[in-house]
Amino acid sequence: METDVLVIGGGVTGAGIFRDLAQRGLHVVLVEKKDLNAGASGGNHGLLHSGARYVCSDPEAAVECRDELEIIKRTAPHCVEDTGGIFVAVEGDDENYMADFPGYCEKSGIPYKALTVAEARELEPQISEKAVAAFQVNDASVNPFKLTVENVNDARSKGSVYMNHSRLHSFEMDGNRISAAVIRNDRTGEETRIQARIYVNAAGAWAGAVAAKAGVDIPMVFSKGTLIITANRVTQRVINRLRKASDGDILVPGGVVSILGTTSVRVDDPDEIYPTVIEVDQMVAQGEQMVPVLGRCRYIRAYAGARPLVSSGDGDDRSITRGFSLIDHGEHGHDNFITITGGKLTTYRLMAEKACDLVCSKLNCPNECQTHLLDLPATADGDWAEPGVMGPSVFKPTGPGDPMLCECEMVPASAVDTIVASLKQSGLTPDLSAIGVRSRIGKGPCQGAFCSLRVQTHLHDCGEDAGGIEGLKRFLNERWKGEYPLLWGQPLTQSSLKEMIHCGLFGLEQVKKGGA
Amino acid sequence: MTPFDTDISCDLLVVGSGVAGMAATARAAELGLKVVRCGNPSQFYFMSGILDLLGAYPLDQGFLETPKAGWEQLVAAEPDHPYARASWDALTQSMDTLTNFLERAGLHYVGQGDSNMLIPTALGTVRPGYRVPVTMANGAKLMENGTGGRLLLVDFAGLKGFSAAQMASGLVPLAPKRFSLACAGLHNSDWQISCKRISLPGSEHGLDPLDLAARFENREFVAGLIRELAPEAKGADMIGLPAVCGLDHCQEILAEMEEALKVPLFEIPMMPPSIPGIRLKNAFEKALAAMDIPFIGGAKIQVPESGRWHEEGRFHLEAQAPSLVTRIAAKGVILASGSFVGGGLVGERTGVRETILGLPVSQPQSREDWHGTSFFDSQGHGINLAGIRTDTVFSPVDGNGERIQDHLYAAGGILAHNNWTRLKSGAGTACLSAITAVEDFHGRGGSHA
Repeated sequence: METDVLVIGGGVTGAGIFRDLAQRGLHVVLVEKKDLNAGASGGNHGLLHSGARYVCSDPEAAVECRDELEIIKRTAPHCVEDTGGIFVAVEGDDENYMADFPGYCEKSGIPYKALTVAEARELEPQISEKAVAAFQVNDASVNPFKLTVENVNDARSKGSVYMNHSRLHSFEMDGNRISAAVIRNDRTGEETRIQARIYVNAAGAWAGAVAAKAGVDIPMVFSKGTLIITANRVTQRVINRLRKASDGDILVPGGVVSILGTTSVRVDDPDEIYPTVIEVDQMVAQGEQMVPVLGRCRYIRAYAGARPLVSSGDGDDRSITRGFSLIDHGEHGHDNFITITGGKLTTYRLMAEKACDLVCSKLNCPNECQTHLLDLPATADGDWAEPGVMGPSVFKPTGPGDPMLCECEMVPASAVDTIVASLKQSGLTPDLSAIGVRSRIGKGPCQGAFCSLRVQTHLHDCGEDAGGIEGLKRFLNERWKGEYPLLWGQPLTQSSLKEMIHCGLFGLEQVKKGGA
Repeated sequence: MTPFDTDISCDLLVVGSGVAGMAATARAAELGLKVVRCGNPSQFYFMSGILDLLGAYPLDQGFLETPKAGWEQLVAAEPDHPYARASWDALTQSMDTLTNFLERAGLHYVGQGDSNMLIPTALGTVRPGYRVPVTMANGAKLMENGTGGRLLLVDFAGLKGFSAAQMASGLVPLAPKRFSLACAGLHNSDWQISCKRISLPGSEHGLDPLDLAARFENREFVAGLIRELAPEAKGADMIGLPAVCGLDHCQEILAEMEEALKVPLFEIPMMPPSIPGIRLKNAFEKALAAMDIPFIGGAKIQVPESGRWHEEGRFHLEAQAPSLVTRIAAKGVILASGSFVGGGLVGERTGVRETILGLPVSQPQSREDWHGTSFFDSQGHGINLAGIRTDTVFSPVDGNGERIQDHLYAAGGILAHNNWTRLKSGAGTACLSAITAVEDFHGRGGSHA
């Protein structure tokens, strides 16, 4: 296969580059080893920063956020919930930080409004009585899954190609130049040789691994961020702790839930990241100082993402710039290979623009970036639920004969049928795990104890293989990784019930892989 | 009002209405004790109806054919397990006491002596059962050597969570040498499976298992079902149906269908609400009501405001219903209030608490040790070992092993070191602890204390 540009990595940055280049008239192939947003692009708050978070530590990033927020709000309103945000400090927080904050905002041109504590609590009654200072800012919430899907769909509509489950196997080198990339499909084992004029490494936390295949060393560190999703939306606005960045100090509403995060823990391997009990407990303890109900409310899921940071020596990972790294490997002779990594969800478009400018200068392509001007088209595909964020209102039963398979989140059989049809059209296996990613199945209070069985039965009755008992076990185990750190109170009772049904009644724990 | 004002006075108060609470109440009544039962029997909706003694031990070595072999290893290796409090004979006798009581209540359980039976489930998995409802017994033949033939699996359109095709697709890979699908054209297995779907009027809105079970209680419905099954039944050697074949008369209904179709039938346990569990609950409730045992339902059991729940040789508890408080004075109390699902224990972010008396709870050191990273971890989860530690007559003890209060007992799911969902030992633990406790109380002059 021949193309102008091969982009490696289906996160939001890769998707943004994919669209930007297609917009400039180039033919692009995007390859992703798993599925869209499988890394940090899916493991974050879904927060569009006003910039206020960075005014003290990184004014440049603050200005970038300020401008990009406005562009995304204007060009992709269907992906954004314009919630607004509040910064709040509580008793005991650093008073110098509170005092300096407005001055720094002004310096970076970040709009803010000082609130009295009474005003802040009137806007957001869940804010602690122990609040001592508050400022209103322009934060917003975004559905990162939808944002990525829409970027990909727009590029595809212009003739570019997206390949999922397609892993970079190797580069063929001609001296220091890459002459081709060998891509292997993880499901079928099929190999595709792609010859491109330029190769863009947008593999996020895996950028170092991709570069190594071309003989290029990128020193990377990974910072694990754990987040937890509440069962119900706690506030209308984004609530930030008014202090130096730390654990559990941002609460972002999205749809019918809120997301509390995050931690920052150095990890060695971005493939092995799971939320832990200790992280969850620390985060809840911090979060409840700001919004006390966070100590009492129910959580439905924990998840984690690995932030890719290009190393610049020792120090706190939070102090490494959250700005992005655009590396032209031409400086070392690899003149058709670039890497873009790091950065933030909020600045994904800007990162894509800068990367595409570099690509175009190498290709002598005169076309300029348009993504800050053109609307991002809305497509139906983007309606698929991002885990835990999309509300139960998306699917409606079609009438009699359309039983509710998930009674917690109200997912009817017809919705499962729609997802199954769409999965099959994309050549994907319609098993519980794939359906779980695309709906609220398994994400309600019963944690999949009941709906997993009903959906599995329904799939069998529709003639689907559904992966059998192994498929059911895999689904429950995948859900479990985001559940077990959060099991206290009512969720613990629910998980005991799940244990009673799936182990006590059906004896699934004794079913060994591949039969008896 | 003084702490001694009481609305009910009794010998023994049984807190909880699961298997342990029911068994304790029944045994106390048999012994002539004045017993009062309270609590919520809703956990029967989640029970398979199968009475387990011990189905797996060690946990990573599959199901046990004979529970006694596993029991010997268990009591040797885990001295804190409730089974280590008593002898093998005491354990099996307590199960006999239970099944004899149920027999008199009209619910017939069968077993194979000291062996477990292997019962096929709706998923096509097979689980062990020490004593099983007679309506499920034929299912055990599927896994027996020397049996075979044509197996017809029947399901009902609209009955969520039960699909004959799904069960067949679970059985075939589970034991490929024993099962094959009729449509696949394979004939080298002992059991060749075919499926039949029944569509009932009104089922397009979905069928509730309880409604379907109620329909089976109607003779005309059963007659119609027999007519519909007759053509396929002619070629079948065994027929399996979801466990929804009637409520109070399931045994008679299945016998009638077997006679008409001339094929052995069996019921298949499926996801909740579990009809065999509800039959078990109904049998207990009917028999205990016939013995005039008082029951306080829908009430939260709590200690008096004074916090003093034992004074002058009597336990003092309150049953708090929405508009009524019943004060109860009892000479003895059995806490059969269950674990997390039953509400006897609650797991808070900071630790596990016993909800009624605030008894000390044996539990993992930190919340990090509550759960493994795999749901199906072969050793189970640490949190399921949390509970109340007791002495050999199931009287709760503190951290030093000292008895907390005479005539106070704990039974069933609330007991520590009792991972019953994995060991498949729920009914056995409940019976042993409940009956040992009642007999100890009685033997120590409970009614004259």
